[in-house]
Parts: sequence; C-alpha cells; structure tokens
Amino acid sequence: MHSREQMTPSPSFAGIDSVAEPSAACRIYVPEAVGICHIQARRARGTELAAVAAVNDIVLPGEPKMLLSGSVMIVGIGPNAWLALEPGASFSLHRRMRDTLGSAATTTDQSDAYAVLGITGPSARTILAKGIALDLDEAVFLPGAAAVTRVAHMTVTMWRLEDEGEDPAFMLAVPRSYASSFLHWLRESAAEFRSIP
Amino acid sequence: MAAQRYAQQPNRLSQGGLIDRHRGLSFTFDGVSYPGYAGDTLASALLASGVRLVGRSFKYHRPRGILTAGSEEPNALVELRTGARREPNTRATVAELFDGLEARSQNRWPSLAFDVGAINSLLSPMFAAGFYYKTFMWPASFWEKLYEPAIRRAAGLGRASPLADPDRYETMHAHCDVLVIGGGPAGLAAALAAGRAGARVILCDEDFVLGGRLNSDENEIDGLDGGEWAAGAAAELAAMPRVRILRRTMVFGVYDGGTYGAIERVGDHIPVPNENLPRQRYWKIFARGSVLAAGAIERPIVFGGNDRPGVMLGSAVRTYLRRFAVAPGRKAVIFTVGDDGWRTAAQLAAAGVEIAAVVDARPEVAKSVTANCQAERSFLGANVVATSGSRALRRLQIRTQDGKLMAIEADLLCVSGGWNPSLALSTHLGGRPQWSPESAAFLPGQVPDGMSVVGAAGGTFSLSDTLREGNRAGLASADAAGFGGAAPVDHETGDEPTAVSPIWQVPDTRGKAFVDFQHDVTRNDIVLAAREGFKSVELLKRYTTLGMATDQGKTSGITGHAILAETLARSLPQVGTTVSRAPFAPVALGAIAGIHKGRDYQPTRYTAGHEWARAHEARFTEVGQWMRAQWFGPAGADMLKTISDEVRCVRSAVGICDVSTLGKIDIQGADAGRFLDRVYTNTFSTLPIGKARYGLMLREDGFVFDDGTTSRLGDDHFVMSTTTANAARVMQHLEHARQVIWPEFDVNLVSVTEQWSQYAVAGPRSRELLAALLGDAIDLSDPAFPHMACAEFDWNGIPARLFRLSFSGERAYELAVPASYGDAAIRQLIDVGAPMGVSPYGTEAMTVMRIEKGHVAGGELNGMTTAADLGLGRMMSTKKDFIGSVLAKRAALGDPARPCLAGFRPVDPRSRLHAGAHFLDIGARAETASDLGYMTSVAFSPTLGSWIGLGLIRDGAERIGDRVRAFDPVRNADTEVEICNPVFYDPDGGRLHA
Repeated sequence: MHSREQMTPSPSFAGIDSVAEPSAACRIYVPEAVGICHIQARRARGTELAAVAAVNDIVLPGEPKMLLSGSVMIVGIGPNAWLALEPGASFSLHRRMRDTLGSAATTTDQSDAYAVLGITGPSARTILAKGIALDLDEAVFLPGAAAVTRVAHMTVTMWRLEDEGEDPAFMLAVPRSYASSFLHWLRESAAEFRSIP
Repeated sequence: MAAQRYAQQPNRLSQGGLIDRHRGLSFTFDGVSYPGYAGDTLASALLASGVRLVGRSFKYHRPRGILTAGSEEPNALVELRTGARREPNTRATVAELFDGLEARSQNRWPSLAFDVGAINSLLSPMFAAGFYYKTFMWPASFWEKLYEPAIRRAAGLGRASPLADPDRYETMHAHCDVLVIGGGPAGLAAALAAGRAGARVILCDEDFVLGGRLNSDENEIDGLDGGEWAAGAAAELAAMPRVRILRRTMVFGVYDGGTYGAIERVGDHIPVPNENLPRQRYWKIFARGSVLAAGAIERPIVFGGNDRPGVMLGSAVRTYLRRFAVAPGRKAVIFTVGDDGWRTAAQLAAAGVEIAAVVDARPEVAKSVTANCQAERSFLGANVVATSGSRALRRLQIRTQDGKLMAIEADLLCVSGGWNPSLALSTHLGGRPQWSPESAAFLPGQVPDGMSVVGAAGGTFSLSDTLREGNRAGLASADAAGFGGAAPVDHETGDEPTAVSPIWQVPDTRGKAFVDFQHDVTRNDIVLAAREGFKSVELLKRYTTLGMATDQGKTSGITGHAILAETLARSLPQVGTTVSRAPFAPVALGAIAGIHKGRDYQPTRYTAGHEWARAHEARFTEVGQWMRAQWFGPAGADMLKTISDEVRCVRSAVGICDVSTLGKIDIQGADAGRFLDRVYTNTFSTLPIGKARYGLMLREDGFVFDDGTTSRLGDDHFVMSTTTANAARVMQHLEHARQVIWPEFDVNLVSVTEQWSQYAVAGPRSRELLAALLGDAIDLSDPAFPHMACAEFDWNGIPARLFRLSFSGERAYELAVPASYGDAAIRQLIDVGAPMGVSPYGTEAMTVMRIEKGHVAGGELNGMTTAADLGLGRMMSTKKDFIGSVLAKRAALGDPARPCLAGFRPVDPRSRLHAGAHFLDIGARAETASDLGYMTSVAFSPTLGSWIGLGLIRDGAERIGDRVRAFDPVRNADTEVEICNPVFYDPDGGRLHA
C-alpha cells in the first residue's frame, strides 16, 4: 500500500495571492479548509427537520439568509435547501450533519465542490457590483442576507457577514472548477484599486 | 507661451469660457498641428483655429463643417487616434481634446479640400432616394461585380481598425431610487430634490461638465450666473453620500422593469486609458424611478445650401461663444423662426461679432424681443434661400417679405428652427411621441413605467418652468421610493421669451436643400418618396434612409416627417413620427462584451488534475466550458501515433483517464429507485446495493437524450453519471421531473460533479495497480468486486468511491476522491502504476476505444436518434412508464426504414474514413434521393490496423457484409466501405474480466 503522507489536499484557489495583494480598497480571505454540507428536507418533512435541528441548536433559515449555529454558517439556498459551512472543517461536517439531522433530511458532502472566499474593504461592494446584479446596498442586503446568483456567467452563492470595522464583508462560494475564471474576473474587477497607494 | 497660442487661435475670445488657459494642448487634424486648451472639444478647438471644413458627406462628398455642439452632430465625424485605437465616426463635437490627439477627416480622396468623389454631386440625379433599388438593376451581374463594389468604396463612413482592440472594458451594476438622465438645469434640480430627500440617486450626463445649456446661455438663477449655479449644484450633489454622479455617461437604452443601459467613457479623454481602468464602462442601472431631463435638440431649417460649412445651429454658436470662448465667425447672419435666434444675436454681438442681419421667418415678432438688437439690419417675414462659398460660407441670399432677393456677405449663418425635445429614451418601450401645437414640438407620449420627463425634453423651454419641473419630479420620484416630505423649492430666474412658429422648409430655394446631413437625404428625396407612394414615416425612412445614419436622425427625422406631411397636404399629427431604438448614440461593442472576449468569452472549467496534466504535456480540448486532456505528447509528437500508443497501453497494460467532467448527480430518498425508473427507459429500482447499471434516458418526445451509469450506494441513495455535454441539461430535466411532474415523490437531487475527482483506470493491469494503491481499504478480488460493482470506503482517512465500469472494453475501474485530493490522486496513480507500464490517456484514445467497442457517444446521441436506431431498443422497458415512452411509440419513430447503427470499415484498409460522409449504394447517383444514412464517428484503430467508423444506415442490421460508398463531397472523399457489426473489438466482452 502506498504511503498516506502524499495525500495532501490542494487549495481550491491556486494563485489567489496575486489577487489578495494588500490593498486599502479590498482584502481577501481564503479559509484553509471548509466543511460544506448540502442539506435538503425530505418530502413533507420540513417541520420535523426544523424541530430536529432546533433540538440540536441548529437553525435552518426559512429564507435566503445565513444564520450561525455555533461555528457553522447555514445558508438558505432554496426552498427546503441549505448549505452548511464550517471553516476549518472538512467532510467531517457532513458526517456530523447526517448523524444529527437523521432521516428527515438528505445530506450530501460538498466540502470540495466549492471554492470559498471572503472579501472586505471599503471597495468590496464596488468590486462585486462589476459582476453581481443584486442590490448590495448596506440598507438592502443586510448582514446575514444570502443569495444564489450569477457573477460573470458563473453561479455564486453569497452572503453578507457582519461588517469588519467600517467595511462591509461578504463570503462567496463558487463551484470549484470555476475558481480560476472567478479569480480572473475578481482580478480584473479589482484592477482599478491597484492604482490607489 | 499663452500669448503665442492665442495668436494661433484667431477665433478664440480673449476671455471667458470653461477652458483652462493655463493648460495649452496640441493636436493634429489631417496632419496639421493646432493648439487648444484643456476643456475644449475637438470641434471647439478646430473652430478656434478657424478650421471650418472638417469632412465630406456620405453620398455626394459635399464639404461639411460643424453643425452642432453636442452628441446629435451629423456632419463633423472624424477618425480619432491611430493603429489599434483608430476609431472612425467620432463626433468632433463630443470628443474631448487631449494633448497629442490625432484626428483625420473621413470620406475624402485624395484630400479633404479636393475630393474626387464630389463628382457625385453632379451625378446627383442618379443618387436620389432609392437609387440602389432602381438604377443598377440591369444587367443583373453588373450589380455584384461593378456597382456594389464601386458604391461601397465611394460611400461608407470611415474605416474601422483591423487590429484587435487593446483596451479593457468592464460591466457595472447599480441600483437607485431615482435615475436622473441629463445634467442640465432640469436634471440638476431633480437630482438635488431627490438627493436632499434622502433617496439614492444616480445622475448621468453625456458631457464632461454638468450644467447643460446653463454653460452656453446667458442665464441667472437666484442671482447667480447659470453656470455658477450649476457648478454649485454639482458640488452639493457630489457631497451627498447617496448620490452618484456619472459624467461622460450616456444612457443609451431603457429596458423592462426599470432597467437602463449606460456607457461611461472612462478613458476616452486621455491619450491612452489608465492600465488599471477600463476605456469604457457598461452600466446596467436598476432604477425604481427615473427623470428624463435630456434637453432638446435644435432644428435646422431646410433651404438651398444649408449644409455649407459656416452654417451652424444658433444654440451651438452660443455654446462655442460662452463655454469655449470661440467665435465661430466674424460676420454673422441669424436665420430664425423663434425668439431664440435673437438671443444668439445678442450673445454674438456681446462677443464682438458683427451681426450683418437677423432674418426672422415670422412676419411679426414681439417688440420686447427685437428691442436692443444690435444687428445692422433685421428682416421679418424673410427667409434665407441660398448660400455660396466653395469650401465654406461667404455669401447668402435672402428673400424679403415683399419677395425681393438680396445678397448678404457673411461667414457664419446661425440657424434656429425651434427645438425638438430629446425624447428618444421615452420611446424605447414603445411610447409614441404626440404632436403638441402649443409647444410646436413632438412631446413624449406613453412613457416607460416610473419615468417622468421634465424640462426641454418634455417641451418646457423657459428656465424657471424647467427648474420647477425638475424639482417636482425629483421630489415625486423620491417620494415614490419612500423618501417623502421634502418641501418644493423654486428659483428666481430671469425669464427669456421662447415663442416659436416653425417653418420646416423654405419654399423656392436654390441648390440642394438637406434634411438628413449624415445620410445626404434632401428635401427633393422626400418629395420623390411621397410621389412614389412611400407615404408612411416608416416607409419614408427605409426608402430614403432618412434618420437611419448613426445619429438616428436627431437633427433630421422630424423635419423630414414635417416635409412629408406638407407634401401630402396632411397635418403633422396625421403623419406622425417614428420611435427610436437603443442605443441612443453609437456604443462600442467592446463595452457590451466587457471582460468576456478571447479566452474569457465564457468561463473555463478546470478539473483538479489539470495542473498535473499540463505538466505532463497534455494537449487540451474544450468540451463545453471544460478543458479536457485530449492526448499527451511533447511538442512535435505525432498526434495519431501518440493516440495509438495510448490505446495500445490500455489494451495491453493500464491507462488512466480523467473523467471528472462527467456529470454526477446525487439522488436520495425513499422513492429514488422509483424516480429513476421513470426517467430511464430501463429499470433501476431492482438494482442491488453495491451495483451499477447502464441507463438510457429519453426526452419527452421519445428521442434519446442522454446515457450513463447509475450506481446504488444505499437503499435510498443512488449516484447518476451523465455525459459531460449534457450534465447541466440532465440536472434541469430531473429537477423538473421531481418538482413539477412528480412532486409526490420523496426524492432529492444535488449535483456532485464538482465534489468528486474521478479517474478511469483501464486495462488488464488495472486491478493490480489499484490493489497496490488502495491496499486493504477495499477487496478487489473479482468475487468481491465484479464487473459493474460499486463501493464507498475510507482510503487513508478520506472518503473514496470505486466503480467497476468500462468504456474502453478492458477490465476497468473508476476511482473517485474528493476534488481537493484530485491532484494527489493522479500523481499517486501514475507513481504506483509506473512498474506496470501505466500511461495517461486523453479523450482521443477514449474515443478510439469506444468506437472499437461500438459504444454510442456524442456523434450518435445527437438528439435525432431513437433507442432502436442505436441498437438499444431492448432497453425500452414495456413493464413501466417512463419519460418519452408514449411519444417513442409514434409510428415514424418505429419505422423499420429508419437508419440504424452499424459499423463500417474501408474495403481498402489503407483508406481513411470521414465522419459526416453519406452512404450511397454502389452505382447510385450522389443525390438526396439515394441517401442511405451517414457516418457519425470515425477513428483509426491501432488494434485493427485500419480506420473504422460508426454510422446510421437504412436496414443496417440486414445488410452486414454489404458494400456501400461513403461519399463526402466536403472533403472530396468517396470510399467503398463494408457494413459490419458495430462492435469491432471483443464482441463477447471477455476482456472486461481479463
């Protein structure tokens, strides 16, 4: 049998450093690892699932919102569908969710299906607006608001975090195979702020 | 230095203007260097230096000058810049001057002053309206060979650069409560009102200085000069955090649901755009309400020689005087149909320009208007009937009220024909402009939802009314968005007289009288069109091309329609006017494309093993958005030989292929098996746990949709694979079935394509390789893990899946690991397989092997084949219902004459086959009636040592052993082939277990 040491995971965002160069306008944060679990309620068992979740201190938002359950971010991505994310975790999150939520839910490990990044800074909104058609105004897209939308012809699941000081902060999850194209878009969209000292 | 520049600008006034006299600029026009100032447009700088001839017209190559001072300019179209940035048809009136600007005139040969094409003017009877429909009809072949090329050379507007556009473009989305279109007095008042009320406001203005006509006319607002008031308003708006001002931004279109398109010219006013900024930015603006304050466009008057350089619109002359401190002439005549012309006279006189005459077509004019006129003479009830001067105006002729003709020397004729509200944007969703006798103008009809039209754009021409309307519309629009309660504001202005009684054309004039300057449409063309029966404005437009130039007829459309009405003895409301389409003014396609050009035309998807493949000399091919390794070989390697080597490696040892791009769908729920029975033609509910099965999916219309394997991981848990090409469509299809067709099913779907990296490990030594790699994580003995088995297991602490599936026909497995381990997994597979002679293989080798095995793929699953056509009729279960089962029973789909799948090999083994070749019986004529079917896929089989093919042919199953022609006129191929069993290799399947 082959040695296990060589089985190291690769980052979803290769080459992120060239985008995340220090800038007053925007800062990018890429978690080392994220456990991601896709959760759906079984047919006609949404209420039961919510009760099971509640018992285990998990809140499944009934609208496009991100709510924190401990260290797990749970994002409503559709009717009776959620994405649970836990920075620092891995497929272990799926196993935990599967065991916790039981038969009222179907769960699927998607830890490697998405490339996840956070973006903050005074120009974060402007940069995102170059690809995202949604109204990200501070009074409209409140902290915790979530959306599944498009950025430059790619699907993105995004939500707003609590502000980082004065600056808005967002988290974005794009399908992993698109990571390179997404980074290209981000690099182009952040370009105008490179000229700011 | 400054004095020297002044000396070089004979028409520059010694003071005034929104120009920076400390920032002198230098530019060239047709190779001659001229000075100018920051704040100039190309047009104002040319006029300052006394350049009046700037272009030749489209059809007659007539000398043309500068008519306007705005984006409506039909004449002064020039080429800007050189090389890849060369841009034709730029309106000199909106091109901001920068140091080093290079501009050239268009449509002239060999030079602007002497243009051979001007002979067209003498031939003009041939070039009248519709000439291309009727003049060149005979002989027909002359059209293509002679007339069309000649006309194309003579006509046309400028030359596009053949080089790739070097600049960046980007898209921006913005939302607001109130979008204000236009930054003149009405727009500023609206933006101030809405902004002060707390609404989110976007103010777009085409110009680079806010204020509109406040910077051009003598005005006073609340005791301030109009221009100063505008600057103050702009400063107040700029300080409001919820107000965004977009200068140099043209709103070009109005779309459904409060969506507006705009182009911001970010870098057009500097020699080369900043490398970190786009040249232009495409704004998609979503507005709850909008205020259209686009102003109005002054009308020319149609009389003989009205296109001569030196004939300008009066409002434009005022702009050059006041905003740019340029006097466009020394001795001026005003020709007006309203009070506005008298303002022009006063402003010119104040600037020291001699006023030779004011010619007002109205027989009576209010004393208050004519008082204080400093013209040498003034004529009421008079008209200008002709102009002369070879390259620019020198003299004009008027007809006085009593019919006398009189010549007047002048180098500037300021024409004021009244105003057309700039209402194009109000018509983009279909609203028809309505004629208003009171305003003597077409006014917006049904406007888009949420839009209000204010100021001159709505036919309100006095400054105080304009400001009031802007303020009220801003308040109302903010209120509608929830920002009510702000008090209305009124301003103190001196109110200027605005009476007008338009005449559209001067009767009995001499020489060509132009209506559409850019397309060289004359008054006579319109009369001719009416005479020939083109009596609606739409037909008139198409027959004469009136208003179809890049300016969309901003200065000509309504005048043309009015002349049509007069010719037909109808009223203007009866004739009506046309509606306009986006874009309001020309838009660069690059701005619409944004970053999506070249490699970024669409996003690219990479598998986790991509970097490894790249490092191992993979040649990639695009499959949809995916990049897949096509074959592996160093530079200079022979493609066919390399692919054959890859095939031989799989058939004799073991090969690895990245199959991560295939669609993967997780299917869970108590009804998962039942659901699969409904979407596949064959049965899956009976599939044991730990087994995979090949499935065929039809569309509702009974044709084959997709195929793939589905594996059962648990009692209520399956994982489906789809083809790469159809992954997203299959997911949509299944979601539709689940949500809409059978909502009662307990089944959930989620795409896991992105989650798993999957590698095919194929060949007689595949088990040996995997056993070495996976060790005791899984028992790979044939009894424990036979063909079509599947399993989930932990491998070194990570979740893994293994499927024993074969596309190649050899013993084969597919190993799936989470995508973050995809790179590590391919490295380990190759490392561990080295002693067994492992080689990676690409999509080409995979295709060769599947054709050798007679497996159908893209060429056969082409949306036009049935299961029976593909020899898969036995997979159509008769014991259950499934999507497509009803329509698959249509008689035509079961017609035994339908071409069906067969194999083909050349009679001469050295012959090459081509996909797309059509089958004909030997001796049959190559015509549609003889067509038997066509070749769908071909490959060179290293295993058989010849080309082989799959195809669809009539009665294929009964004709095994027959010979037919594979006829391919596209590639000049005509090959005799033998029809054979589509399974060329290992028909018994023994290799699956070898």
